[in-house]
Amino acid sequence: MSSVKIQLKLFGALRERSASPEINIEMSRGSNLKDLRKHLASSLGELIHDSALANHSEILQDSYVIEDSMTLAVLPPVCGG
Amino acid sequence: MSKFHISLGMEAIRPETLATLLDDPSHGAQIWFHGIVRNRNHGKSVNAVSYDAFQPLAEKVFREICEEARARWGETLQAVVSHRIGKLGVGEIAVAIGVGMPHRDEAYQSSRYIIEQLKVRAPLWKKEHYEEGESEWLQGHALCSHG
Repeated sequence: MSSVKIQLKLFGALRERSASPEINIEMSRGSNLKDLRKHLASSLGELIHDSALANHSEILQDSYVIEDSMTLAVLPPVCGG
Repeated sequence: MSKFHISLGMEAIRPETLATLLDDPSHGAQIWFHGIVRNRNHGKSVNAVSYDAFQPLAEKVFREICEEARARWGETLQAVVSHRIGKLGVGEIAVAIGVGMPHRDEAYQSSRYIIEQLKVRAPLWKKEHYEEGESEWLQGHALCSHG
């Protein structure tokens, strides 16, 4: 199965779980975001399970299938204002 | 129908500039809410707060919340939402929300709705910097995507 490149942008407390605010990984084409979340748990810890995954315009559900290379934002629990 | 005035940036929020954006002569009520960096939280002395945001989605969420307020309290509603990012000192304005409505009841309610929704839905984060030298990201509300 071919692989796709995923660029992940980290925010909030997640920025400090990684050496860089952006991570680049490869996943199998056809993986879903639940698979991605499991993959990230080893490097980002339990906070990934409370975090949302989004593209530039919306939050994506865990059932979302990764068909092609893409950029995703990893959004930990929010606290604005 | 007037457009909403949405902004998110590093520049200081200037209430006197934002005030000119609410200009409907049929409105008898304007409510301005300013969220300010305060000097204590959970018993610790706070020197500053750093705000982080996922800008494109945050601006979209601000706009969606304003649309919801307009659908609920009336098409005439005008709204301004301005949020800072970057490091802010104590006393600086982190967020300003202005609403204009014909009457005060809807103005108060819609203002409250916008700030409460912003706090739980907009992709924004804050890290407090304490007098003792350490700093900490504050706990927040999870944006669900496990469906």
